[in-house]
Amino acid sequence: MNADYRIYALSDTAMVIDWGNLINDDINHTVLTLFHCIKQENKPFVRDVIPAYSTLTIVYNPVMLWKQGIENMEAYLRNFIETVMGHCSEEVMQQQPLIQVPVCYHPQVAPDLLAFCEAKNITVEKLIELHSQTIYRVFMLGFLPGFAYMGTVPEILEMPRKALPAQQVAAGSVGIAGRQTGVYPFNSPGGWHIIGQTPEAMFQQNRMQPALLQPGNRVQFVPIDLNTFNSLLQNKN
Amino acid sequence: MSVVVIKPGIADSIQDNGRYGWQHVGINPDGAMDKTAAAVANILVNNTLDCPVLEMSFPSPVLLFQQQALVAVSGANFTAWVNDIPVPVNTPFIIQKNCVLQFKQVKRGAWCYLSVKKGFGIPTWMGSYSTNTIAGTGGFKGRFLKKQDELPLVDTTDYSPVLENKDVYVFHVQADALQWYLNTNAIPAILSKDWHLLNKEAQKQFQDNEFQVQPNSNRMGYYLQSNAIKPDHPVTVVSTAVTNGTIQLLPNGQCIVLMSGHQTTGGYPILATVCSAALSTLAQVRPHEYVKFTPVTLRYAHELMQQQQQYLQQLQYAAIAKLNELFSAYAIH
Repeated sequence: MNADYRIYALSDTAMVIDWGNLINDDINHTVLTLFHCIKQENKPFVRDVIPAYSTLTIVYNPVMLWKQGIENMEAYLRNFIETVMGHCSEEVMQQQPLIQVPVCYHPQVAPDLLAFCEAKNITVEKLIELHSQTIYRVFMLGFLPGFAYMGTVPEILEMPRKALPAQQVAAGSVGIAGRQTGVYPFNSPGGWHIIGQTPEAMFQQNRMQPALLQPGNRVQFVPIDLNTFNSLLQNKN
Repeated sequence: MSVVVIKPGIADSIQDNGRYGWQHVGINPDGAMDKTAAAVANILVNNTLDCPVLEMSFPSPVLLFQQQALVAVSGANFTAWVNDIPVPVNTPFIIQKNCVLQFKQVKRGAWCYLSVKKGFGIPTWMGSYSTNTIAGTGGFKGRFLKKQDELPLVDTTDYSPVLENKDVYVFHVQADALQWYLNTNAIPAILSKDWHLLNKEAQKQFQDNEFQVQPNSNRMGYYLQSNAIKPDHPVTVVSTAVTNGTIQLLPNGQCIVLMSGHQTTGGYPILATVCSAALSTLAQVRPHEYVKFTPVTLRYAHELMQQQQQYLQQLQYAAIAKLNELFSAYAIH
């Protein structure tokens, strides 16, 4: 496990393991490996484990630790984290499922598609090929329930976030920002360039796992045409 | 039988202690803005602390009780009335069938909590009663209350022996609110991740600044206005997890402090996080009022939290004793 980290308190109920202020595949791989290992420990005092690009945050319940008679909470938590790091194996990451997400790349459902291709001087076909042939990793979720930040987008598709966010992005919209891609689970304002839309529900409150994508999952977008998109959308509703 | 919303307030939602275990998929914890007041409201009607309560801002709702109920209001003092009788905060009372509870003016605070004996009859979502307005689920229909909404009551106890024919019976017991609200001129906070990005002068300025809570503040966060705080160099930080009380520095040099409806992650520099034991105090600060922050150690923050727990436990013993005493005198079970 990548040894170059620091541990500090975000609050009196959360500790952070921080591998540096970077967006980097290797570091995120380390974050996600430890995320799965800490989850597997199933400790009652751990309320939440939140992976981000280069940090893992552990939200704990101090009351539960007092009841166990623990006096120096910070020392106890550091020791817990480093003990799990010591026996945490990367195998957890090899078992990650590949999730296929159907995407319609059509201007009717993707308001920024044509402008994006023009700015990059590529055809829509080329964009579809580049975006859908990469297998992405879910680095982290945040912003909205079920919103997955995925990477890494091929360099040729890199595009900075919009200077002025769109007032309304439709649920299911597939966007690019920097070298990341993501799908909006809900209608929302948003600054990502929308190049496609999925008929799939990224977030469904009644599912056992409401979020379709989990941290560490591998994801591939499968191109579908507008007719297929419409009929899949109809079946969903 | 239910509590019927005759007229909605501006931000009435069902809340509890929050929804944990799902932040890794972006589901924010929510929960009451002032969790101490929510706990006190529950304790005063002898509920367990995980019962759902109604959180209200001002203007608050007008509520019709279709049946008798043992209730309490805690947190902000919005001058509660049952029909034409004023009722105190932090005191349990029994409200008569077909009577109306309403709130007439702000005396203190920003969030008020209504508990009813045995809670409201609504389902949990992902282990919590809290309303998640972003996902549109949890609590009562995943949204703020509207006119004609009916919050089901669970308790069917006949309180007539105590009430007789009166509209309300107020208990002779009051929880001492001053004990759990701290000085807003010295809100304790733990310095965190990006504090070192500020030079000595900017760090001192953060501690000296009076921050004014802005009117666009809400359950997600309180926007603060003060002398702008500028790091030596422009800073970009990658997104990390944030939490209730996290103070972020915005690009314009102003700060925002995240409240219980916060997103799970954020990409602004994190200067400090307000201590858990002070979040109730912070939540009750109204727009246009001022706060100041004081750095404290993690150990001190935990001690404060422990004191608050002990206070709540003592209150719980006292309230149970008082309620039992009255009810056994009237043979109510």
